Amino acid sequence: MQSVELTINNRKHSLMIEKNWTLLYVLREVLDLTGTKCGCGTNDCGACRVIVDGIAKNSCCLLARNMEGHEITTIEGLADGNRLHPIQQAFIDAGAVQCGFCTPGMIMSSKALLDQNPDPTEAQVREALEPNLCRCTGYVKIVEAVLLAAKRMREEK
Amino acid sequence: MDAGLKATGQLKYVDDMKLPGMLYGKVLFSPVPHAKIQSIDTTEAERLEGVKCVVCWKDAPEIRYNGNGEDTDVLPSERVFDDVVRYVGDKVAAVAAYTPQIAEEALKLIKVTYTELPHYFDPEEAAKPDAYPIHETGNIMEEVDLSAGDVDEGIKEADYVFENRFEVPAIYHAALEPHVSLSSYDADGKLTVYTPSQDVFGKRKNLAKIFGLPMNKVRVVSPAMGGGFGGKIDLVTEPVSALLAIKSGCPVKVTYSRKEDMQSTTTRHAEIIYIRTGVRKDGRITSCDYKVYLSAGAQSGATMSVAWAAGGKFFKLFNIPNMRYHAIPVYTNRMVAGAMRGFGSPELFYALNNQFNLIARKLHIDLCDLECQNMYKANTTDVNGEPLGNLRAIDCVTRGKEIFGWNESLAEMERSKQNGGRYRIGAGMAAAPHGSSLYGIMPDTCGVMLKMNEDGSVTMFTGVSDMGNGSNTLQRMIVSEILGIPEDFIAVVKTDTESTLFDVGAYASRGTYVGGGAAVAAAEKMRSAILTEAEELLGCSAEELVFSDNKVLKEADPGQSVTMAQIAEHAHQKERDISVSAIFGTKAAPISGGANFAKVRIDTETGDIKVLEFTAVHDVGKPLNPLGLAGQLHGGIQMGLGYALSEGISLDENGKVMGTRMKDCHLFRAQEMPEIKWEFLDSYEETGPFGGKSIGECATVAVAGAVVNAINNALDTEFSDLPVTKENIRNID
Repeated sequence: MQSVELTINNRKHSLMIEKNWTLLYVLREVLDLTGTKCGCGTNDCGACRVIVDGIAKNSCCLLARNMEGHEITTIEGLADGNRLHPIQQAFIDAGAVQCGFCTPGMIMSSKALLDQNPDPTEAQVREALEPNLCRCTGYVKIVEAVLLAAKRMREEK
Repeated sequence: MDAGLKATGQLKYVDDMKLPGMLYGKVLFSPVPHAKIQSIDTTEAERLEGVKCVVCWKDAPEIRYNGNGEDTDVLPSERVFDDVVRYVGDKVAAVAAYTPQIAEEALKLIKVTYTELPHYFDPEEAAKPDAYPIHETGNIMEEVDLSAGDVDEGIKEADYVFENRFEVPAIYHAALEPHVSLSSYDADGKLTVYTPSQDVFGKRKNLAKIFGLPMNKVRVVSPAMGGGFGGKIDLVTEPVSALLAIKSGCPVKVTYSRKEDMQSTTTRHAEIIYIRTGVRKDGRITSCDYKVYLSAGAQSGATMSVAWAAGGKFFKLFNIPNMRYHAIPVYTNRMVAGAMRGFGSPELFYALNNQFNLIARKLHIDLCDLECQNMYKANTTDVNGEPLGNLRAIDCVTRGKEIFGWNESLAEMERSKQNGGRYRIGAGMAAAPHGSSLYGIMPDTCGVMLKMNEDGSVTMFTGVSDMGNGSNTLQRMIVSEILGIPEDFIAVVKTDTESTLFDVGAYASRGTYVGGGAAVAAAEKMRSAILTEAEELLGCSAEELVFSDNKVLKEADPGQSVTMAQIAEHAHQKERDISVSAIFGTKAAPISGGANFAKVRIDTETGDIKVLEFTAVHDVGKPLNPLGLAGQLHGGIQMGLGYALSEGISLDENGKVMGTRMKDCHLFRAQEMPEIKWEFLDSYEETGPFGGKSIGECATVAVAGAVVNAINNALDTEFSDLPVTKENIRNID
């Protein structure tokens, strides 16, 4: 066990961890932040995506001990109290949520994209979602949701 | 319905749950394809600090079961743990420990010796009379032989006879949520199992049987399901977590890793298909003789149901006077095959549409014309006399041609052939039907209960499993529509064998038709209970009243109204309560249908196949939830594209699944998807809830046929086996 301080959703957590624990394991099993899902554990499906210093990454392939000093955002960090983030709302409104298991990871990839590029083309959205697998939707409504969120967020500004 | 919970990560899936004192279960899997366990020694594993218990065949109940809830009594072949292992990945033993890491460690300490037995991966080999039996009953399960007319006579009337062989691979469901269950066994002798399940009642029936418990002492709950597609119908991890919980006295969670999920769950059947079809010069098909070997894998599961169900569908689309369907389901030493979106039909209609495309080419007839010429018109009966309902397959083809631009695409294909360049364009189509319930196969019922709360809001109790496909959403929409109570005022309690009425489970695309039917029945009953109160409160007769916006009001004088809250209060004052239950039993199995069109671009140098455009037109009766329908359709297309071009489970020479990672499954990703156009006919199914019938499975059944036909048309090839890959293209002479 070693001690580590992680900054997750703007909150600092002092933890004792094993050196081989992944960030995903710590989020789910230690901190009970179970919104981040484990779909494969091998960097293939994107269900565990979180944002690290503005970049979407698969948390199953990040060692928790290397995450000190980094800003980590999970799906739980998006809504403002009961007010959903515009991307979350757009996913609901566009019918982009089916079984929901890929949804948190999809939303994190989308957020990282829109934070960088508020007006992406459909091709850019698809590129940003390439690491995320979905078995339910054929991605059609998910792509629509991201474009809808982008439009709403631009209009809000 | 619960999209907000899903979008925030708040919805608790089973792997997100922890119970006080919970242990972690891990399973030891067989490294050999078929063997008798000569010896198994678990003592060292049991001694490891942090291990609570270890179980193997010596601890498992003797009882054999069929893990498929629909077929619990059909050829029960499986034990929780057996002293024979029948595939690489079969369950050998399991450990419950305080942490997953300790459980993993303990598995390495279990010593097993195996005496290997002959093994078969190919169903034709396993079906041979001298093959070593994988189960005592022999390798051929029960053949299904269904005929209409006389196929040999039909061949005599034909000008041409086409004979083709098709091989299609086992397919992994690849739900994003791996299999998981969390079981507890309490001091009262009650077993509770949380599992993402398409069939909580079937699982309860099986678990009660396995552990010798009455059903009131078995509770199966599906709190959420991260995708199913048929893969979460059969028992997988549940008997293991239950056995560990019973033995340890602690709650135990078993979560499969992706690798374990890929090697030790269920699949769509690998099949070998032979079709002999006779056709006249004018394109009229006179005879179709279909023979299929289904690779059932190591246990019985849903295989018999799949064999029968595909046999039913065989007769439902094409109006051919002489037809024979002969299915030979065979045990093989591979993962258990079972239900997967289409239940035998993706294989069947892939092969039929592929062969009909070859016929159309040889006869120089447009495939759309050939198919329509041989398709049933709406409101007819099939060749066995079974009514097809208002199946408008021909209209789907006609409309699909327009939306897709069929003639233009064929012209584009011809131009690309003449140019003889590196890239070839291909256009293809395929059509397929699917049912909307289990009617005719087994009794198909669903019960819904509704109770009105003291403020006039409602709670709906439903046993219908929603795996993200919107079945519960549709039920709530229906209740809302009939009662005029907004959806926000209707809570849903679902898939809990303890609190919801019996439902057959998420099979057979029955969510809309049967689940929706039960919602209608319950809502109508509640409507009449509400009217009793409203008549007294408003002093008028029920015929004068309408329901809208949380109120009951006089149609002629909308100012005169009572709110649902007043209705509830009035009922209580009269010492009544508004709570109803209703059962819907099916009286028909209306057939849905669809026509799919694909345009592909093939790079003849690299072999790359890109699906550029895809059009799907479906008859789903009245489209009730257009957003949900579209979502189902798009997902079905994605799954069908993978079936055509990239997916399929391969085994190495030892029977081990090749590939251990999700990326090895080659599911279509966002950038690989084609542009999709779609339309639902403005249709109406008389027997359906608000005119609706199914979409779920039909969405995927015709896809592979359309895509492979496009490839074959582009290159003048006769690819028959799935998937068609870039290597196949590169190897063309």
